[in-house]
Amino acid sequence: MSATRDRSEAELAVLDATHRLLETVPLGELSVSKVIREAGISRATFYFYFSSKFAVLAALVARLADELNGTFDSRVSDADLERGVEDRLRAIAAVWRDNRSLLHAIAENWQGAPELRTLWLGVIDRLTDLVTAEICDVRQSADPSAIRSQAAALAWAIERYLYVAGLHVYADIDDEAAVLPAIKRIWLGVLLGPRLVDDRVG
Amino acid sequence: VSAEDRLSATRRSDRPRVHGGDSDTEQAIFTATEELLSKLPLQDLSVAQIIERAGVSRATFYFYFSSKYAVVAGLLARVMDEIYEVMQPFIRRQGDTVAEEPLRESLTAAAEVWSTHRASLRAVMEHWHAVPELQTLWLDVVNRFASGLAADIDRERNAGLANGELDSRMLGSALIWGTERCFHVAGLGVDDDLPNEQAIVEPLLALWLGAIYGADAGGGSNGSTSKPKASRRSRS
Repeated sequence: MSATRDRSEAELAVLDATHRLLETVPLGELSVSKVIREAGISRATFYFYFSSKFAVLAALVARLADELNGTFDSRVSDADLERGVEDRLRAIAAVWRDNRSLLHAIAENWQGAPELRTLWLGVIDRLTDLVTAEICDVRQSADPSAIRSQAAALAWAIERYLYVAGLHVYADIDDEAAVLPAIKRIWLGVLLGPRLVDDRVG
Repeated sequence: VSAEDRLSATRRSDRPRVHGGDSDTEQAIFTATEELLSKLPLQDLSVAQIIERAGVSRATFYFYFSSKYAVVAGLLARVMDEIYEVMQPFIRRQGDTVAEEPLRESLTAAAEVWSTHRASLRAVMEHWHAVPELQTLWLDVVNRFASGLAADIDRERNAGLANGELDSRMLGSALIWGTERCFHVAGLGVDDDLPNEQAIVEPLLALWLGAIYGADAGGGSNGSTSKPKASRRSRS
């Protein structure tokens, strides 16, 4: 599926309706009937574009993954690494905030739903790719496989912070903006990591 | 949620008992539940299955536990106590030793405990957001680890060994949440980049050391003069 091709009005209506419904309806209770009612389209039209509610979620996630990709459009510059990471994080947090209901629904359900799992692992993998490329860029000499696992750990950690922030149950991480300094610190630590070891050896 | 679970949930408040797992019966229930959780998800697990496997009566079960969630909460408390214990090499290390080795040792031991109790922890991770009694306990556990780590970060900073302006409590919390997430994902075995608990010790170590001891990046490109200060050696 191409996430970037032009979508018909009916498709967009389905995506927007699903996005809206997820703010109040748990994923388990979301049905195609509710979606078509909210979108104001016929069942036949729905099934012309989507095979199931999971197909709609897949389309929403694909759209979100594109936005995520967009946050990595510019390279972080060596001259101002801190600023570069901060900009990335703000952009990622903004994408998360805009899609919070969808993301929480996925974060809470992907482990038991194969369709969601594939989607979600794909998004994390995309973030891992982007961070890996960035680390390789910043650290000139690094072992790519070690870097990839660090990038994956960072990607999952970010997923968790933004999720916990959105739940508002844990005082230290209570808001997507408030948690950014801590993520920035960890991200920079990963980016600059080997210097620590090099310095010790040297 | 079954009627039985709903019923027992309403009784939660009049069952303030803390389950240390110190009786044979509680131990049998814990063991049976862990075994069952390695085969089926928590939502499909019933008290009937637990008591059958544990060989105890329904009355005995409800004498000790208000619901299956109370059993999982008891398991969680015990496992996290164990992990807190194995983190001691890092937390209690002497000030003049390099943090890296004790931390590696602690994370390796934590990975071992996590993989041993993977199924129970998975049940907690997938349900705490929706089950109040798991949520309270889980957030307390995270808080406890975060406080311990924050105190350690403060100690290191006061000794001039770590730098950074960021609130130590915030940094500690972030590292703990990130670590629990990575262990959980590694335990699921669904991400090739984090294939199992032991395999993520090194990446987690990189995250922790970088976050605690890394240089502040104000202008911190390659060749910056700001030195990370974990570069001390033990006075051996």
